[in-house]
Amino acid sequence: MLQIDNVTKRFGGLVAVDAVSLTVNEGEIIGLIGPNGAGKTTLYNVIAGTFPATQGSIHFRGQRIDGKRADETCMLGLARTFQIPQVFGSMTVGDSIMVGAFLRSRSRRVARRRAEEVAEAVGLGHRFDLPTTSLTTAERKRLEVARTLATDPGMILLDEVMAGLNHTEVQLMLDLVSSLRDGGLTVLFVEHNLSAVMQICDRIAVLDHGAKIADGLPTEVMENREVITAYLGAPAEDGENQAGGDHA
Amino acid sequence: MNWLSDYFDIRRTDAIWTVLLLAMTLGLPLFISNNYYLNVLVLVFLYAGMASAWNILGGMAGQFSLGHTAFFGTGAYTSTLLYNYLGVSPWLGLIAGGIVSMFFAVIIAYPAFRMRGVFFAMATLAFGEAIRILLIYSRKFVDMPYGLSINWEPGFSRMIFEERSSYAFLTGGFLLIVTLVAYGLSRSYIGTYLRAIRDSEEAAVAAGVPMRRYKMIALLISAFFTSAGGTILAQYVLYIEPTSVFSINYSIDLPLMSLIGGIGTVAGPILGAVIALPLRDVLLELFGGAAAGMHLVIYGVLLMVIVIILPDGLIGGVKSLLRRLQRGQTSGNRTTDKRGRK
Amino acid sequence: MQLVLQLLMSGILLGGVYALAALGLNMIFGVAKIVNFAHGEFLMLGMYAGFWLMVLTGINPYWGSPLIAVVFFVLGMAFYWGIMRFTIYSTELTQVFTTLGLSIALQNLALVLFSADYRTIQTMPDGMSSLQFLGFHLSTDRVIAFFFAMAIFAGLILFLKRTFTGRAIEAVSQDLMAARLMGIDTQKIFLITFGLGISITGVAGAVLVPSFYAFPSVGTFFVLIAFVVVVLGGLGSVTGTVVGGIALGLIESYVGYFSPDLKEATHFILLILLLSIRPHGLLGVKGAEKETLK
Repeated sequence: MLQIDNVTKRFGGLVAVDAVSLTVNEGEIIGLIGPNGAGKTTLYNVIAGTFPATQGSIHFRGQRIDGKRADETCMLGLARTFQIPQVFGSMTVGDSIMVGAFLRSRSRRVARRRAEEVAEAVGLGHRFDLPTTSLTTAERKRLEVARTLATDPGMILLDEVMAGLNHTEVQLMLDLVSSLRDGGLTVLFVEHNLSAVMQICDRIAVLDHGAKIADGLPTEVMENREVITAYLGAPAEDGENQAGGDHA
Repeated sequence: MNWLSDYFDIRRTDAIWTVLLLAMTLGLPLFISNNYYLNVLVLVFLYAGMASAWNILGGMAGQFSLGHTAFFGTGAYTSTLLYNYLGVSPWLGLIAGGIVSMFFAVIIAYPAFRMRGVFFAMATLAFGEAIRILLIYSRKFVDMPYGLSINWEPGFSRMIFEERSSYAFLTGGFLLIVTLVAYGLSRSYIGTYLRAIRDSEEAAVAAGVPMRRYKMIALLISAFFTSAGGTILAQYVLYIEPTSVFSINYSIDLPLMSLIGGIGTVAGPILGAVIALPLRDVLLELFGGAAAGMHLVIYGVLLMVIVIILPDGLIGGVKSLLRRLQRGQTSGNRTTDKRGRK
Repeated sequence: MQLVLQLLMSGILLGGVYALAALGLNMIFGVAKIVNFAHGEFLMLGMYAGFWLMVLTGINPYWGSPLIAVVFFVLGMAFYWGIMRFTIYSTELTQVFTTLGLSIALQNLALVLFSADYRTIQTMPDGMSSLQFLGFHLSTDRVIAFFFAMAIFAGLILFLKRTFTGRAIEAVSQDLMAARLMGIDTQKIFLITFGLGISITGVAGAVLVPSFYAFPSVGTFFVLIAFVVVVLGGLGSVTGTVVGGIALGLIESYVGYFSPDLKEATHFILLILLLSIRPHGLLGVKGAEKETLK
């Protein structure tokens, strides 16, 4: 469904993403992980169309999408969330979700029905008519997902949707994501919360220093020596290089 | 009718507003016969219409232009030049001016839409000033007097009327049309898109909103109607010159009125014009005798106070007051209503 | 060749003056992230201060500048404490219109107090109003104003780099939240910044009045110049303001020689072009123009 070929992204002299290739199949939940500064967020942003790749190409459903604007990619069925929820501050929850729904229908009636469905699905049904600014952090993250879902995507990109959530909220979010997969959606995750990723992903790709160092089933990846080194530092040396903090 | 409610969010309270607006635009000119008050009415309608036009871009889409005088002056000049030199009816001149203004809008959009907030304001401000200076400069190459007078020959096709009340109907009609357009935009998906762009460009684009296209739509509509206002004013005062119709005052007054009433709302700019223009007159009446300009000192101070106390305008202020009263009754409801500031 | 150099000299002198006129605007923007649309009116008040000082006491604005600096420092603090303090966390729109409201009030206050007459003063005795320097004719007042500008810039940079308060101001301009977490009293910093910014603007006005007419709406002209300088040089950059001012001075000097009527239009066209090509200015911080300000 999504094919990333040899993507490199440079910022001046810094190589943030180094010749990464990755294929995501339809209906898959794939996690993109790595220590701080590994280039996850950069790769995510290149896929989402925030900035162009320096080299390489990205195809979605056979169409080349790198260099396209985010709204064009969204039209093709690839939608994203933001790590720090970007709420529409002057709107109600319902209106915010309708912004996404208007992509497929200009009719308010249709868009509203779609928004209600989505709000119900993410557990914001009872908040539908409240201003977005009254939501908690966890609810805002759900609103991010809801706005994305309202665009009727074939695949969604989730950026650290677990960050800042407590245990129960993480569990609820996991339930939500698996229900989306059951609904036929392809999901690409960028995530710090490893246990969450382990629980839900069909496949995990690990980035370190901009390069992909592992790609496979969660259990395989977690036993991979390179991955352990990247996260915990080489065992022969001291234990200084602890796994990075909590936010990218 | 079903089609209408499918595409537009029509609320029950809209009927009240419609009646009020119709009574004001069509009723007041019938009952007021005093020329002084009719003059105020004409200007209030005209400014209300143009402030509404500004508000489509500045309020709904959040791109606050300080260069609308460029469109206003272009409208006034295009129709007047066409009428004086080629005898073209100002009704057609109004359309022509609107088209020229939209052309200018496209030119300024390219650089300006790359900026946000106060930088957009500065760029548009510079644009408004540049057009005036270029117009004055152009007189080196074309034979055109500094000011242009329009001969007073009443006639519908010439958009010149004997009765002042006719001008009140004309400007009232203008206000009605702009309001209808603003209302239609605001309550359709386009209004939601524009608000989304205003609140968060990133999130809007990520939700599939082609941002530039919608900013452009808002700008073109806004430019067209501001320009039409310029044509109408030219036909009312029958004399234009670069410093009067390209005055920076228009660029400031239109957003100011929107802000006083309630920026981004359909009723706000109208309310703002209804308050601000007579306020200036009243202050002139009260303090004009003291010294020239005294009333504007007070006007400026009042503006600061209003803007600081009511950042969401009168409509916003009234709304939050109502909400507070409601909460007083159903105590214990702790939903925050504070608007998220960017 | 002589002409080219003459224009170069007068361009640089004019540019120094423009830079000084814009410095206060840029400083307040850099620290408080507020674009002060009443900036031109403070400059206008400075011009009148210089004018009246000379007319009433005979002290020329150059000797009187310390006094004007003190008065305008207090005025700037009052401006912050009485007005802008309430808008510092408001939307940009509120800030723009608060300062625009002030601009309308001050402009008309000047009209009430000083009438619409054009005023200027002669500081130099006849025969000394222009200097001969290597065969170039330079206005004495411009030369003095230029040295004032350079001295103020040097002083300001030293203050910002070498004193504790100065570095606290820099810290606030870079990251308000972090500065506050480090225990910097941001209210005090804003107060000092507004004081300094308006003080510099007042002195700028005073040293301008021998070479520019003072009248109530002169601020509108200068605020646009100041915008161009600030955008040209870079938002929030002190050194950038000098570069921007001199660049504009040079452009105006050359354009003005060949086509005096286009001089003013050049400012605005330049501003639009610059904002579209390099919105962060020649020396400014990239991305500043995209930042949604607090």
